[in-house]
Amino acid sequence: MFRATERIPRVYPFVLLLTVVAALLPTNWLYWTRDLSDVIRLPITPVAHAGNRLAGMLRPVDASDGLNTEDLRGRLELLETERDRYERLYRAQRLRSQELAAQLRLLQHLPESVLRAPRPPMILPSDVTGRDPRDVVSAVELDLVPEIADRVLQGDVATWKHQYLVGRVVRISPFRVTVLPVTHPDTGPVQAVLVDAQDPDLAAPPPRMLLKPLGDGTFAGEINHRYATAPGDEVVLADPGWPAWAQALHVGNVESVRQLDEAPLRDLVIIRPRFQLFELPHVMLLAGDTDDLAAGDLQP
Amino acid sequence: MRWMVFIVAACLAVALDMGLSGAMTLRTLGFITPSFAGCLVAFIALFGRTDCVLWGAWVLGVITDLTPGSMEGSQLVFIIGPHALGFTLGAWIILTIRSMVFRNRILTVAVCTMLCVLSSGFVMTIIGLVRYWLPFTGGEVVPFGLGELARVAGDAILSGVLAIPVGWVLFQLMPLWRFDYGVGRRSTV
Repeated sequence: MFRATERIPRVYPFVLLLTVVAALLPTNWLYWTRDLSDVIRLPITPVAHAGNRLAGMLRPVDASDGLNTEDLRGRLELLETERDRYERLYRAQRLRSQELAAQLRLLQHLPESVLRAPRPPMILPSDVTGRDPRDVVSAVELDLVPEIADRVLQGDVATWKHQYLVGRVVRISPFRVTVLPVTHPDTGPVQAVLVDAQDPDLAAPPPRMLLKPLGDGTFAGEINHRYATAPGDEVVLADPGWPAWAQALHVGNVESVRQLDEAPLRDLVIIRPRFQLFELPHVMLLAGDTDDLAAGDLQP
Repeated sequence: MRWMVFIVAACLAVALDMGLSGAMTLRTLGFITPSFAGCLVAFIALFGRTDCVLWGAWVLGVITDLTPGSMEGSQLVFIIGPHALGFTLGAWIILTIRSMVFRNRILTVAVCTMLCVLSSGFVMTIIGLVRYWLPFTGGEVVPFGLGELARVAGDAILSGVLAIPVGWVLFQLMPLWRFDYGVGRRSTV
């Protein structure tokens, strides 16, 4: 039988002791582990990348809404029609906003470069190379292709299929991009609005909510009881703290509604994102187009 | 034990844990996920020399601790220790019992993998609890508790199931490892 003293190097207990100490170090003293991780995982990342792609193929994310092929084809045609219509509307609004900006610029004697209509964000697809399948709110790491390394900045937005908000870039190292899920408590509270598809009154402001991540992949928010929120209602981002192009991205759907005992006029709403960052094989990063800033032509 | 083979296998195991194991996660049962690294620790603990096993388990644990799941919050630092100590404890337990088991059976690898993942999960939970309660560590995002232990047990069972095919592959590659066999019970597969 194995005995504790059998052929164990004398240094080993000290190494274990040091490991125990390292495990209990304050978080603020552990920044060096990020660099250590970057270096040690250099040979691991390509294999993990392949593994993630394989996992994505073996277990694709279900985005079909339970529709069959015929339904999906019909829905695709409808979406293409709607896309074309909204593209026309977008161009018309863009022209209109440019015209209004030009008028305002003349009235206020501002230089030509200001009040320009915002440029659409760059869409940069990226594969997930590292994640923890056990943890709903764990950060994931993305493949650092040169295009992303040059363009993506801390605070840029990660989406699934351009529509669903899933996370935000929190760190860009020379080796990888780290994205924190929007449901992570450290992302902080998120302002959002409840979208009621049945309400034809576009002039009425939609009910706003401050969503607090609960740490289990969901958000909690409070809303006035008179809005009669129901499970399944859609919630979209409307937070000035996030980039302009991230507004109106889908945050999640209402999972449950409970009237608060301590404030009967308010409801406690639990929101669950339709897609969680950790289950996705790849994401779309939305980054600002910084070419103009680099050229300096936004300066008045 | 050939260290080069171990390093390659360790990198592969950690990479599979970071990627492929997501395809095997039981999402409706509390995100129970199998561990390739646990299978590897159990395998080397059954056949390797004592000092090699303990160092190997520690090295594999440190590499696992430096993977995304070990990050803490938006500061994105890694806690070194939970897996490093957990895998070492698991290897220690297997070293203690390996002379009493039939090492060359895949079932043995499966059971030892379960033991290893269970013990490493136990250590992780303890460290999580200590970090949560110690005022200076910064605390974990979600406190560990009984639910975490139940999930660890689930991870252990699923890892044991995964160890059956993984163990078979490792047995086929046995000559590559050049283990220095100790005295123990043997049996054909």
